[in-house]
Amino acid sequence: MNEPNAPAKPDPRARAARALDVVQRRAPDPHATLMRMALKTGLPLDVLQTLEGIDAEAAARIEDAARDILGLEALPE
Amino acid sequence: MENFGPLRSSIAEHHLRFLADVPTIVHCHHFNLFLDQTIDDALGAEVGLRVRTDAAQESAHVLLSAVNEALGVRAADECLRVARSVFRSMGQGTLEFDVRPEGGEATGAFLHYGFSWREKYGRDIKRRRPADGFAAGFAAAATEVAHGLPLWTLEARERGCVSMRSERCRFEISLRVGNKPAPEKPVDVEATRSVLPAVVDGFADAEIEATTQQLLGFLEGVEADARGLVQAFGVFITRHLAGYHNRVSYAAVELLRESNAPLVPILESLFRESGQVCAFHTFGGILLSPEWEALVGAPDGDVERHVIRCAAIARALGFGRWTVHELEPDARLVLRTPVTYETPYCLVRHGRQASPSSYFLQGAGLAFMELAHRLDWQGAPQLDDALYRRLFSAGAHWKVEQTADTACGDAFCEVVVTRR
Repeated sequence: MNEPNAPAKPDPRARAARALDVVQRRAPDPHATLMRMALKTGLPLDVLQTLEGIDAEAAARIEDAARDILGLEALPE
Repeated sequence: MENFGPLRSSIAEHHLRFLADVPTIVHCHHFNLFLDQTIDDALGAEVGLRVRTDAAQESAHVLLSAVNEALGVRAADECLRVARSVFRSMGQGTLEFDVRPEGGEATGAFLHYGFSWREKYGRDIKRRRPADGFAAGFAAAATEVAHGLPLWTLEARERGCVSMRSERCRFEISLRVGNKPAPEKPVDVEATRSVLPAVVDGFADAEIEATTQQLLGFLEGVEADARGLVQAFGVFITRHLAGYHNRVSYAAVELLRESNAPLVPILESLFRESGQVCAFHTFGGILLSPEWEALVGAPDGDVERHVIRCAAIARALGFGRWTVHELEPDARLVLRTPVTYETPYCLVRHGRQASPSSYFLQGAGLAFMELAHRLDWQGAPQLDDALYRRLFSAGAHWKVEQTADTACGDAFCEVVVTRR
């Protein structure tokens, strides 16, 4: 549960969607990026395409993989 | 620099090449970088680096032992001089050693992987880890061979890399702790011969072969520059060790099959992609080069001529005896070869396969048709990353299926490329 005054964390699906959007726009080989993300996260392509059932742990993996591909410490807001 | 020409040989009818009986292959930096990246994506950065470095160390240990034996070189400093020279002749850059039997340090300048990564991606991406797994493994092997040590006595780690904006690449070489891979069968010229099937001929074979010989004659004169790099046809070229590419590819498939088998087809797709990116940059670069125009003629957009010439380039680069079995422009291409440079390794090390795995043939075959039909060759296209992205960002227009593989027990390898 969030602390009363802490900002609410976006839900995992929204976090994952944002990370995928950023990496697909900025990665050097956009057409290969989703496959790279599948290998890096261990998640199947259809899950990355639909984001069905993405939990916080999977969202964190997607964010880590996106940061790694782009060489960033943090994804841009 | 030594002349290693007398140590180069081939199984001519199969277009497979060797240095001191060790299989070699010509590959560009686009292929090399994409393949290494795919290995790390599939296995994770730490395991990926270990697999790549071990593959380099094994391949280089075999090569340097054989070269020293052939040249009659035994003293440590002479062996290290030869190792430097071999490395440069491969287009891998410049390595300097300060090593003893228990290890030491090597420094690299203009290393193929780190330098070309910086050239290709450095403006857009900040790299978080060193890029020169191949040079690390090579440095460890060179130190072992120079001091008469068996493979896996030492290990090397890159501590600074130009791809991460260091001034130079630096390698720490030390006694190996744990993790000694099991010894495996060598895949040399003899092992290669033992698995070769009969040659198959195809359409316009005499023309393909004549063009191959012309290009081979030209390639003989292409040498490393003062940096130890081979820059030609708009790419950085390596005369690489096929064992390196094969070991990392097949090991990655095996490891991923154990950990997450449903992802193996994705890994195989990215291996195909590395073949496609190579065909676009290297084959395309050769076709558009003034040297090629002088030898063979400029590309004119004729699909049949394009495919025949691409098959000739594949042969000249040591990918196997690629033949055109069927070609219907705008509809279908069937390429065959008795083996690719992948097949002997696959059979000797991994045995008969259940599914086709001539990844390079698949990717390059697909690219032959994509490039033949989608590029304006007479307009002298600029074959850069931006054009590649424009061509493929919305997906491929063609698809490829491997319908036969010598590694699966078939008489030849065959890919069929058709419209999507």
